[in-house]
Parts: sequence; structure tokens; C-alpha cells
Amino acid sequence: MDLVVRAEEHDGWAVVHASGDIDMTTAPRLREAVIAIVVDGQPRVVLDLQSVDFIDSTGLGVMVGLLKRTRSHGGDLRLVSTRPSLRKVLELTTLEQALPLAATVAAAISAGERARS
Amino acid sequence: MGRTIHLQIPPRSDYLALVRRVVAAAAGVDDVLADRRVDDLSLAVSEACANAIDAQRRAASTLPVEVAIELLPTGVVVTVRDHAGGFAVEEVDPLPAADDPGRLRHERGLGLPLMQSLAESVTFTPTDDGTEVRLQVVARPPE
Repeated sequence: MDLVVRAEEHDGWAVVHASGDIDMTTAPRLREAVIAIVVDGQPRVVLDLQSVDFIDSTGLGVMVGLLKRTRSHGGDLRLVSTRPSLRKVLELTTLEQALPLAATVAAAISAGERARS
Repeated sequence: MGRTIHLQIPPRSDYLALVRRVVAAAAGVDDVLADRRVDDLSLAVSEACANAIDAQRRAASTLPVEVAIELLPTGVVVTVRDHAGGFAVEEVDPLPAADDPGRLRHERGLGLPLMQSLAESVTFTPTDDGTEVRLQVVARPPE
């Protein structure tokens, strides 16, 4: 399924909802969408992947890049998903500590605040 | 007696979703693989095809990437053949541990470790003009 990206603002964070497949074809579009938000002055980004059916290594690489990009602008990148398949690929690529998954957008935001304080 | 499905795709990444759908549907015939293992196979094959497409783009080859899906009583074997001149798998660095402070330096090179974790076996064989990747996902892997 094609990737659809939609962004909104929530408690001082940009919340980006993605749905569909994130692969070699669509990952650059997600990357551009989030970079545009960061460049626009909002480096605190929650990426909601609950409706993402598939993610490949290109998609994971884009997330690592976006994590570094948001942090270099004083923000952070938080991921949301309860899908076991996403947890599994993060573990297989040893990214589960760098990119922890929150169950909800609210949990992702408050986890970020706790880590900060 | 095995059954084999053959697929040829233009070397463009927008055909990856098609490959994943064909692989998942094929592996679902007669419930050869459980759903979780179908996901493993689809991702591993998608990674192999992405590598093939990427390699052919760098080699400026427009020949099709060939995918063969062999359904066996014991599982599924998928081969992906490219025409990109070949590469050496030994050149790929292993991934750092999750708690390694340098973990975030690695944005690329995730595809091969993923394939090797998802499939029971992954082999790379040079062909006349490229590489053949053979992925095996068994119906009941050892726990």
C-alpha cells in the first residue's frame, strides 16, 4: 500500500501520522516531510507508525537520520507503534534502544519529557 | 515435488510492493508458511530485491531482476538474480550492539543483516553477469 503522511500539532510536538508501506520507494517522501517540519522550526517530532504495514531497511535508515536531524536542532524523534513486526525489525537491526516504541502519541510525548528532566 | 513461481520485474523500486504481494500470496498457498513467517520472507525478499535494483542502477543495467519462489513441503526458497556485475558480501560491516554509543552512525547497510536474521539461510552466488541471492525460510524453524 502506498505511503500517506499527515501532520498535526499536539502539545508543542509535531505529530506525523504515516500509513501504508515505508520502503525504498516511499521512505524518501517521509524523510522530506519530516525534514520540512524540522526546518520550519519544529524539531520535536512524534512519528506515528501504528498504521504502517511494512517497513524495510531504507525506512529504518531514514528514521536513524531523522533522529539525528531532530536532535541536532534541539528536538527529538519519538516513534509510536504497538505492532510486533516493527518491534522485531528494530531488534534485529539493534535499533530498539535508539528508537524505542511508545504505545500512544501521548505516551511518546511524556516519555520524551521524562527522559529530558 | 516443489512448485516454482517465476517473476521478472523492471529494476525499479516501485515494483518492490508487487514482489512482496506475490511472495506473500505464494507462501500462503496451502499454508506453506505461518503468517509470521510470511512477513519474515516478504521482508527478506524485499531487501534482496532492493539490493538488486540498487546494484543494477549503479551498473546502469535495465535488464529485469528475476525472482523465483519455490514452494516446498518444508518451506519456501526464493532466489533473486540481478545483472549488476556482482559484489562481495564480506565487504559489509556487522551492526554494532544496541547499547553501542556509535549505533546511530549506521544508517545504511541494514538490509543484509536483516535478511540474515529473518531467513534460515542466505547465500550469495556469483553468476555470469551479477549475483544470485538464495533465501530459505523453513515452515518450522528450530526454536
